[in-house]
Amino acid sequence: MGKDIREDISWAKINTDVLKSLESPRPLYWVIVGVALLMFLGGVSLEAYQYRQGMGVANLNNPHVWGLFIATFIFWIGMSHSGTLLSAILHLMHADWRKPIYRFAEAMTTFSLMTAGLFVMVHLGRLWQFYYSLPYPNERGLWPNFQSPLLWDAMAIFTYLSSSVIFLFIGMIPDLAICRDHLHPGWRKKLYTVLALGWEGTDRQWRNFRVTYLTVACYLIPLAVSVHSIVASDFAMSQQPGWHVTSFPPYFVAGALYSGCAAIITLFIILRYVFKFEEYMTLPILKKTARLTFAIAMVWTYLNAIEFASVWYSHDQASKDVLIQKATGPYAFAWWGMIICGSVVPLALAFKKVQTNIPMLFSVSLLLNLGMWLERWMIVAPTFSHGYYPWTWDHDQWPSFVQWGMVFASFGWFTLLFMIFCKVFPSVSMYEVKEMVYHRSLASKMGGKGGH
Amino acid sequence: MSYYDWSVLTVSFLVVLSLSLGGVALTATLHLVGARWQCEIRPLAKSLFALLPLAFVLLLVLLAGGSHTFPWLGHLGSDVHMPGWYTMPLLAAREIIGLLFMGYLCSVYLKRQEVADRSEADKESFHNVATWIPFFYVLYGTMVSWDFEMTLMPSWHSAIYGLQNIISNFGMFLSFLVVWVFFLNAGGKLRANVKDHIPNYIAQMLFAFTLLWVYTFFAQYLTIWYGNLPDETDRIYAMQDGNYTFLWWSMIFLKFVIPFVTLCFPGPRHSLSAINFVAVCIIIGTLFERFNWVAGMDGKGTLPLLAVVVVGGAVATIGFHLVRSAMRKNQILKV
Repeated sequence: MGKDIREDISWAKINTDVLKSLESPRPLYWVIVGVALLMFLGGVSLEAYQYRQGMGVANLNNPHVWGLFIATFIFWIGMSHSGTLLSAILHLMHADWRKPIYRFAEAMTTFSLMTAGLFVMVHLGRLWQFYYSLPYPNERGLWPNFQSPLLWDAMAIFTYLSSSVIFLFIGMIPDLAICRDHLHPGWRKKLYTVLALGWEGTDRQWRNFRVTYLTVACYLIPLAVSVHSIVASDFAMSQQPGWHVTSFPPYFVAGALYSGCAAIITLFIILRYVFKFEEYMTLPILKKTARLTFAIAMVWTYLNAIEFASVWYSHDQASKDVLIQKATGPYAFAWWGMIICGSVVPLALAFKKVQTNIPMLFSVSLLLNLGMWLERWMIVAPTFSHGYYPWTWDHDQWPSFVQWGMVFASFGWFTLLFMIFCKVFPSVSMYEVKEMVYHRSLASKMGGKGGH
Repeated sequence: MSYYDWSVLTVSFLVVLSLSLGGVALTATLHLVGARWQCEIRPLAKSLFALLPLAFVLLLVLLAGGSHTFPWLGHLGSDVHMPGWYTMPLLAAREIIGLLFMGYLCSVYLKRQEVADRSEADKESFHNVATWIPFFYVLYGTMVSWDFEMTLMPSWHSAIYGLQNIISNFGMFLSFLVVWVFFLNAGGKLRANVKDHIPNYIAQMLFAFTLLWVYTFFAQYLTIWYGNLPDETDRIYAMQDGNYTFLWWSMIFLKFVIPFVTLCFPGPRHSLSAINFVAVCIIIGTLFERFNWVAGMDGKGTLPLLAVVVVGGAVATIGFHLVRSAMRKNQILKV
């Protein structure tokens, strides 16, 4: 396998190639945007329908009060961990191969959170009441319950969203200045001029930039872990069968990193083709991402296994019944789908041939994300359909077309935002790629490989 | 001997086992992530593996101890699930087979490591074994933590327990390693001293494991506290508020407060004395933690000081001689 990036690539070429992506993508870009827009508009229509007709059309009723909306909400929150993983964690670990691909992962974080937030509102049904669900005290005569994980959830997600946007923006400032200096006058130039905040690349600016970026990265890691741990608390803090599990917080975090990694592979392959980034999003980097995904998949599998083993060992019959029902009841196809897609399919990533086979990796990454979406559904739905009370056991639990449509549309909404971002802002970090090329060529001249 | 005295032996086994397998797990993981400083600590990790026979003997003694080691033996209530899983023959079989298997796997790993640079085929073969080490280390560690700690009280269970235990023990191993390296370097015992930057790398890992430990600890504690189910809270409150309350709060202080406050600053992460101070705190905190989980189930135990001195002293002395002779055999020590 070759090098992560060519060492003789000139800085001017990096600028040219990345800036070209803002102007002339392949035609497939417009096809993706068109399809995503149609999916999103379908979702808007369904929301309008649900708004007019009431929540009954979503088939959300006792005992199945959460359904696909909350399952998909968790899925998108999980997806948001990709940016933190690639940008913050790998940044602190000095893994420089992340440099060409971290920008779009950060964008994924922001747009995933925005997509997740929509599901809270969709699930609420009565949109005009959303204001009252915001947890702040309190001139409205409402006193939020600070012991409720749902309240922690709202605070954590808002904090994470704002921090992720700041992190994304800070990391882009030097690149925005390059865009400002190289593009022709027009609305884009005006936009970049404003957003570049007068960046000139002085020593002082670079020093302040480095410190700020590192500080936000350090802050973002515990925040990201806490966000998904708190989402796990929505379930684990309850006494519902199948939910009161002590491993849920790390299980949710591992699942989040897992789905984030899988999505990075999917979007890596798409961007590589659409924006002609073959020189930057290289196969060795794809290989490393695939290996990372494999490692996280094994952690997720382990956490799954100890959850099942613990439930099996315990004398909590209700939890055991839920587990048996998952494997043999009406959700069996989804539960086994989760196991196969989440634990068996990633074994393919252990093979070197798969790690660099783009069509194969693309298929595997889609299957992994299908598995991770099924996982979230399998956390939410079976407990409702097999609770402590027998009256919960014989209710129709199949989600209506409105729920399915919303899930489908959320992918459209996310894709639309993401693709627009990639067309307006550089999705490859120019200055970091230049640093990477410089350090690699320096190490090469000195005869070493760098690293520790 | 009371159960509390016997618990010292259980803790000794768990500590010796963690030290013997920790080195192999660390070097295998460093190899897989391409960290080149693995070469610096390979010989030490290999020497620590010499503790495995001692762990095996301790295991046999503990199994022979029967209900001294496993208080549920012969007292399983009708409400306990899987009584077949918790019978002496099956327990002994899985523990003995598990330890022998880990011993075999680690031996193969160490042998292939020695000849890894001989050819591409050897390198590939070593890499393949190294890939399996973390998997089995975690699975085996989970089994041991379930059998020797979690299920000592059959009505109590926690899915995260195995993971938390592995993280805690591995943190202790890293602490031991850094202190050991310090003494070996300071005493000029080694043919080639371990390089000065290695303690800094280990300190960074210690910081990460401190955070992981407190995260898994808190995830378990919060879930149980919030659920407020007597089956779950009884054991925790017994450890926290019972006769071993001092151990409980010391554990949190030694394993989280001191390491976190010290290692979150770059300065102490580069200071040998600060790193060693933190490492000693973590080792003591882990010993308290292991003992409290084993002996503090009902919160009514006594502090078995004599057993600590006798059993701990004997195990430490035997372990010291085993490791020293392994170091001589591996030609790490100056003659």
